[in-house]
Amino acid sequence: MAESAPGSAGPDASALDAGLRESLEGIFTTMLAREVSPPDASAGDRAAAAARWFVARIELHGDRDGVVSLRCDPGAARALAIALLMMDEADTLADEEVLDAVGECANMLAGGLKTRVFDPLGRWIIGTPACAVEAALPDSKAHHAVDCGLGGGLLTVDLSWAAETRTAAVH
Amino acid sequence: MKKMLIIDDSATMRKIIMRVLRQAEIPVSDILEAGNGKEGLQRLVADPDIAMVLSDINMPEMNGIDFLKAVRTRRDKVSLPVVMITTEGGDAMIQTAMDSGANGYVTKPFTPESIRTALEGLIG
Repeated sequence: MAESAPGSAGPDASALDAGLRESLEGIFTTMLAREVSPPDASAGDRAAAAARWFVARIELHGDRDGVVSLRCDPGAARALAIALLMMDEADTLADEEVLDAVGECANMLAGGLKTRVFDPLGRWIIGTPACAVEAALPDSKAHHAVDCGLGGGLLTVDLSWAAETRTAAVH
Repeated sequence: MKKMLIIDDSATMRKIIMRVLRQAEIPVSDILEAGNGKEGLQRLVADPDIAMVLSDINMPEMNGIDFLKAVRTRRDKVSLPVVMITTEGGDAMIQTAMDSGANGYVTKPFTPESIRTALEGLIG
């Protein structure tokens, strides 16, 4: 069971990192039929050049308020949608479909995190995904780790508290 | 072969569930969709041939638990098989669903095998 960090409500950083990682791994292995792996060497450069990010955020409320976010560059977002929907590489996908797939993945991620880390601590609730295609890169100061590679692109996941941010490093 | 209703606020998840049902070779003749519990209830009332429901829990407008409770108040739907399929995998939520009249529970992410296991014995 996760323990609260001294002086703050909620689980400690290591429990959160492990919970995020395990939740992501569960989705990858169960529904995408692949392992979570680090991005390839050039994925960071391609992501830095990406003009669009597919983003899904889910609010988390309990002893503290937070947000679980999933951000994918276009390559990772498309690969995620194709794998989730069991489509072919050559299939056409509208942005809306890709965004909905990212949102559903975030939903499973937040649900997995809640089950693994927050449910044992008491009453925590999660919201429904808020999804958008955004132009801005993730803030590298606030979200300091690149999480995983997918489809030659970049997928990051994190939990931000109202007052601080912890990012799961998946390597 | 039976008619099934899938209730989930994500169109993507409804598509995924339909594909997994096919992959799991679940014998259904027709699959209907609804985006929340309220829509699901309307579908159910309008179509007496629906023989099984797969429902999400965390949805806007009417959530899956409220949908389930509403279904169980209808005399003609007391024994309708309803399986919850949701990201909420905690013991308390599972207990709430079962106490509210669910016949089974599947946690997302899921495999064709977990769907098949949950539906085993409920669909002929």
